[in-house]
Amino acid sequence: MNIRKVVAFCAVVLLTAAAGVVALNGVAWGIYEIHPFAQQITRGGDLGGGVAVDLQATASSLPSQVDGAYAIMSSRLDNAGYADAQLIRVGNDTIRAELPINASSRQYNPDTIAQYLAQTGKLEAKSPDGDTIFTGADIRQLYVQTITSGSSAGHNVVTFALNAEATRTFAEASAKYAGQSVTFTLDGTAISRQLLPSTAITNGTGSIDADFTAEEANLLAQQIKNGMLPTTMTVADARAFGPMLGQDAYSTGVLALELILLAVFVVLALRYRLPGLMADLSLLIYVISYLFFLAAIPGIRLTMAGSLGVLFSLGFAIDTDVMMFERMRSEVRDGRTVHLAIKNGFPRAFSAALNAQIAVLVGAFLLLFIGSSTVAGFAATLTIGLTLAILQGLLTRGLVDLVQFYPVMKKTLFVPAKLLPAAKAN
Amino acid sequence: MDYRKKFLRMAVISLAVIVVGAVVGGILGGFRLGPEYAAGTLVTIDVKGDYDLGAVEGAVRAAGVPDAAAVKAGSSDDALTLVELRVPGVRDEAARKALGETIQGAVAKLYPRAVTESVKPTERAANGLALGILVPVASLCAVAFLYGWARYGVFAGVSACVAALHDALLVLAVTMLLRIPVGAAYPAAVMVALVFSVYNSMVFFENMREMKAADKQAENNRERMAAECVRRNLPRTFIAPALVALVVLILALAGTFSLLMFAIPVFVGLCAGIYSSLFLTAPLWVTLETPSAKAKSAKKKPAAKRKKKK
Repeated sequence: MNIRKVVAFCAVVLLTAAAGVVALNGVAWGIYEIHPFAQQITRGGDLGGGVAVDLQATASSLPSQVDGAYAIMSSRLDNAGYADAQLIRVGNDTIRAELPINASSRQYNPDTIAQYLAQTGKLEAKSPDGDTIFTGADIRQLYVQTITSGSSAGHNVVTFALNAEATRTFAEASAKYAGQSVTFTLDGTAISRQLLPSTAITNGTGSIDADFTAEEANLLAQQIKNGMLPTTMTVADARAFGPMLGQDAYSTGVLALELILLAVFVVLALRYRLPGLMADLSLLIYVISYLFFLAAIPGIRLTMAGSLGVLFSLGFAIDTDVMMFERMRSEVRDGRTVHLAIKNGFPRAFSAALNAQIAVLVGAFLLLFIGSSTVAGFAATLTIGLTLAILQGLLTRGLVDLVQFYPVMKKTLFVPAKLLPAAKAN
Repeated sequence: MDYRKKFLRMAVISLAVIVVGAVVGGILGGFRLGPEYAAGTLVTIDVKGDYDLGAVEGAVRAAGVPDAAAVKAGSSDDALTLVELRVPGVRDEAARKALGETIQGAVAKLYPRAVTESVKPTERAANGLALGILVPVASLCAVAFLYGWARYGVFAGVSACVAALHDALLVLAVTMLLRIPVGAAYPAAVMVALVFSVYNSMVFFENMREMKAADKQAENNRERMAAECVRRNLPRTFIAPALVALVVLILALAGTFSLLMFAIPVFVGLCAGIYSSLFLTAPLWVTLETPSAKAKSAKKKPAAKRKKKK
């Protein structure tokens, strides 16, 4: 008996069991807490509901201005990571933003996003005399950074670089008002002051520091990047909405998947015996790791389209195992020993599955970048799922190899006796 | 088995469905767009308490508003007492008013305290349905062709690409034919067909490559090998679609009308994928790979002439 293989196998089983318990129930350890993985997956508006915010333009707004505001809000939502939010024109003067912010969301509260959308976004840098030195439109580049040293350590600031003309104006103003402060205003409200050094700032750079949270700094940067709204918008109404595909769509889907997976596990074990059980173990590890990645990767929001990606990936993972086992049985039927059938058959079958999965993976990866938010959601879950499915195929191979630790193990644990020549059956 | 004839027969069936779908769709004005892709009306009704969304949707459909997509709304997640119904296509003010009254009447039959809060016109929420479908379809077909070509030869690439395109067109045609409302998630349903098609095509060509390597007479046994390969893969062709179909079916039966309308194109895509895997990819590849009788004789003639000259 190969002790090393026995130990390795037992370790895999124990680790899987532990990971399964954590994935299902979560775990708390002092100040650290891991919630059940499925609860941590952020859901889109169709599966988890969200918040609908009605933004109303002032009475004097022209239709073209409301159209312009719609386009800028759309960009703001895309840049804030809400490409899947729906923006609908309601009536002549209202834009309704349906945001997938629900109980499963971790970032942003609806009020912050509503304000982010509604704010005109007019940034101005004002001299101590109240003159405008430059505006947000003069900024050619900006990014958010966290200061790591000095008295402002830990502050999130929006750092900017100005265009040539504004650089000249800023240099003149900084020379004139050396030692005084420049005030940054957003829609007329002062948000930050920057102390000017004793020498002129000639490189056209600076930063806005208002003790922002990382979220606030990011939203401000996006607002400036996308430009100001052509008209004044106010939040007229905000209300919650339930999952668009039904209140219980998510829980029903999860339950259905659990039951079907259970059935798959039973069928695999019954038809393919010990290798089938190893496939079950490997699929369990696959499901746990898939849940983990769906919960952990930022920006992934599970929608109905994304769920299709999850289901397909799972289907392809099961398919890979079935291909390998059918190949093993076919090799045994052709007169090879179980050991040889596994050794020769698995790599060949895996190669077919791998090629197909790589082809789909290439396509899914492409869709991530060129697809609409719906298609990208599908592609994202498919990309993660297929990458894991490839590893899962390798894991099944490894596990089946691992359970051959007992040299006189009955061959009928691997294939039915009817496939084996009488002499080789035991 | 004559693979050319088989391919032609199967291709004609698919082509007929695609053409009929396109013609019917053309006559009836293209896709039946859901509220996400079409301007329409948003009716908000306060039910004044908890209610059954499915029952409301059913009552509104029974009242002659089949396209209404309903969603629960309210002041917070715990108080979703409003029902918002989006109905695509109703633009006229008088029609909008009548629609509001019809919906109010239908909901009030179930919940007598229900009152209409507002009836407002809406513009479409999503733009570019055509591009949203065309670009991903073209990209996946290109991947199928290039990957197939690079790994298994140009005819494999062509076959994989044609199969993928066939599946996508079939989904679009059936959507038009059955007048299924096209919602926000619809492009993903089309992608389902394509992804499944590409996957199955590549499994087939990889198996064929292996069989060819093991058979010295492969050139002459192409048809037999392709048939054997399809037969061998037959049971596992159903694994992934069965898993997807079962979950979506349970969801569709337990969920809302929108979910059911999303499930249908997914099923069509899965069926199209199975159909093309079994009846189109292999016959098309064999047809393309096997030189026609004319081409064979054309090849033989110069060789025979050379022999005569000698």
